[in-house]
Amino acid sequence: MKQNKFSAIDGLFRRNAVLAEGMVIAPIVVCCDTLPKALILSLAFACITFLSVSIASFFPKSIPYALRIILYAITSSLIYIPVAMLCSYLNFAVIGMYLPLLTVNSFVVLHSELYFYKLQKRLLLPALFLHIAGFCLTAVIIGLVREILAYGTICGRVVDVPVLMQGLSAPWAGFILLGILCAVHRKFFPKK
Amino acid sequence: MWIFTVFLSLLADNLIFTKALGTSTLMAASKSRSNLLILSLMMSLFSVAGCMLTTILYWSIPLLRHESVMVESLFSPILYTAVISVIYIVVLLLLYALSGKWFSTIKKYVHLSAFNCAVMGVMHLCFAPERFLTGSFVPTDFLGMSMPVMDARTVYGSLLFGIQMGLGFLLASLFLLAVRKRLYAPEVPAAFRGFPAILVYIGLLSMAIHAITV
Amino acid sequence: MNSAATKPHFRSPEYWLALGAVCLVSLCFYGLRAALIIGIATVTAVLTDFFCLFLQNKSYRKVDIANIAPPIVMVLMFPSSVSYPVVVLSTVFTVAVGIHVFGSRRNYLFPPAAVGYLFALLCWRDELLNAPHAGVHLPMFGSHEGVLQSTLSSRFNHEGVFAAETFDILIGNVASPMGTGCILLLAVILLVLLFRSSVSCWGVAGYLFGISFLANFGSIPALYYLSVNMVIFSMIFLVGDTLVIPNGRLSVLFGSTLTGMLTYYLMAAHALEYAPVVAVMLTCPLWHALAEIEERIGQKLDAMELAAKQEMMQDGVPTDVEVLHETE
Repeated sequence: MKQNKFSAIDGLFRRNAVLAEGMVIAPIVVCCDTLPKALILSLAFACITFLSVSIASFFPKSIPYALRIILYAITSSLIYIPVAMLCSYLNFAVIGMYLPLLTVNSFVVLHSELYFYKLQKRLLLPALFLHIAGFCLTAVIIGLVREILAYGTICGRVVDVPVLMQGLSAPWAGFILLGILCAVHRKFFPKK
Repeated sequence: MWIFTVFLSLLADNLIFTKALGTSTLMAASKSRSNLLILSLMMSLFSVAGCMLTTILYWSIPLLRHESVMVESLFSPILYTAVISVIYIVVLLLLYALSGKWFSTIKKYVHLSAFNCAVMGVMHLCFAPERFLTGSFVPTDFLGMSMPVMDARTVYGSLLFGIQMGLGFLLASLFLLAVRKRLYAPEVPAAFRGFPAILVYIGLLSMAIHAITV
Repeated sequence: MNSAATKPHFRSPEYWLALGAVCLVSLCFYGLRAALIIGIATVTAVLTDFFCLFLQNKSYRKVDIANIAPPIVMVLMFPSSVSYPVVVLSTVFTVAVGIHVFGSRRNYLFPPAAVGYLFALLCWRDELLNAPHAGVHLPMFGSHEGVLQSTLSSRFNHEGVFAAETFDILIGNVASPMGTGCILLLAVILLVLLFRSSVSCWGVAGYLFGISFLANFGSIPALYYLSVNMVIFSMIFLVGDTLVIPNGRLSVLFGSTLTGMLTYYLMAAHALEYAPVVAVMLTCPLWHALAEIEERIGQKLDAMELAAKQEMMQDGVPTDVEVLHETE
């Protein structure tokens, strides 16, 4: 794999974690049915993942793989505590079960080993930041589209939508919209 | 008619179709029949063992019965991670001791099955806060039968819950395995071929299931 | 792979005639509004088809006219009171997602009409499950509150009895979706299309058997269930759709039997008016899987037969019957 700055910044578009790699689908499909929920999810995901992967990058590679994965998950679970307290302070209870599940998302337990920790140290943080931004961008787009079409609002403010499709707030619509967005992504960034 | 009750209950409570948990693992499982069998078994094993071990710890350690530990779910990720970690190490050691030359083939399935949203999701669902907040536990049915057996605070109940979730994952994998070749067919537009078509396919099945439960 | 790819992508003239007949009856019962709804669906389908083919860098060919049929089938499952935006959006979803996502001309995974119907049901449930009585001609524009009622099927599902006379049920003089009420016409169409092989005989046979078999164990006769809940309509245009149902006999027979059983179960246990649509969606993967298994078994049998023939030829035994006769 080419370790240069161009592949590092691919995380936002070409190597978008959700659209190109198919990771962390569940929270987007179920939780992102409004823009505020998508923003909350993005914030929680960003905090947990950025801190977990950054801290875990200092663990020595001499530790066996099985134990390293356990350490990554435990680190993420410990970081989850202040993030959950912050969310509860801000009354962000809308994500429900998917907030604690972010501690074992693919970034932390899989993608970190396969991609991030193979990058040079100076590229790790920008790459991580852009990959997380890619996830957040996807979540925001899906949340925005679903909120407009299902509820006719943006962040709770009513917009003039002639026909509402309330079924789009259900998980099935999340799958279909995400599939269509993946296809659009592939159209603009075809696989080499 | 019982078989349809079981079939629909596996779909209505399905981790994939209703909660989108384990979708990435599902795609790996549907690549071949061997993947399907082994991953489904592994997922069920981790789900069942995780739920049962957590139940045993719940009754053995008084601190865990404190409301803030289980109900607030602030510490639940650490607890579940610790439980899964123990099971993960035990399974790896057992496989290394018993499977010999197959260990290098099977261990990747263990890695995929252990720390993923599906298994953690099963444990969160098994010990969902609403089961404790009301004070009186509302048991659910096993496979749609009207037998209130699934009290997650018992080992037997958590065993059945884990089995049900594992069977649901297996069923979802079978659904995807049945049409996987057609989703990669040359007739499918290049932009949709593969992963996007799989997502749309799962969405359409989820739509049909939602139409029953709405 | 399943031999669906070898199916010609066109609809037979009998199929179009049948669809036309159902449209005509709905026009008689529900007036010009029904015609407008069907027209809007047709135009939207063609435009969406054009657009989707344009995105794929393909040109619109004569075979693509077959893609008009699923949206028409879908709107015939709607009541005539459905609003026009619902028709447009459902049609776009049917064509774009139900047809083009999975490959359009050669690779239907689900009946597109079922896909569009479920989409409309989940987004606008009340609009789809309340209908005017047959003979009530709603205005083409404007509101029509006060004339809508729950359908005959809904009353049957919840009360177990028909709220209409047998003759009215047979000719469709009841509150129902536009094209699914006239049982007599649909039964005739089914027979005609069966004899012309424009619907899958094995599919229809299995579906009928599945419903009848389970109804045997219930208190209500199977014939009652065939008269409600869009069963006959679905049998013709969803289960029997030759472009969706795979090739093969035993696999189709078995698969459609299970579809019929699931339909009965959803009607009897869950009182769903749209039970056939849901049952078809959930059992379509099974059809494809069974067809693939049947194809593989067929190929293995062919390979075994070929191997046996080659072995006999190597041993000097004539394998051709004509050669045997000549030597005699």
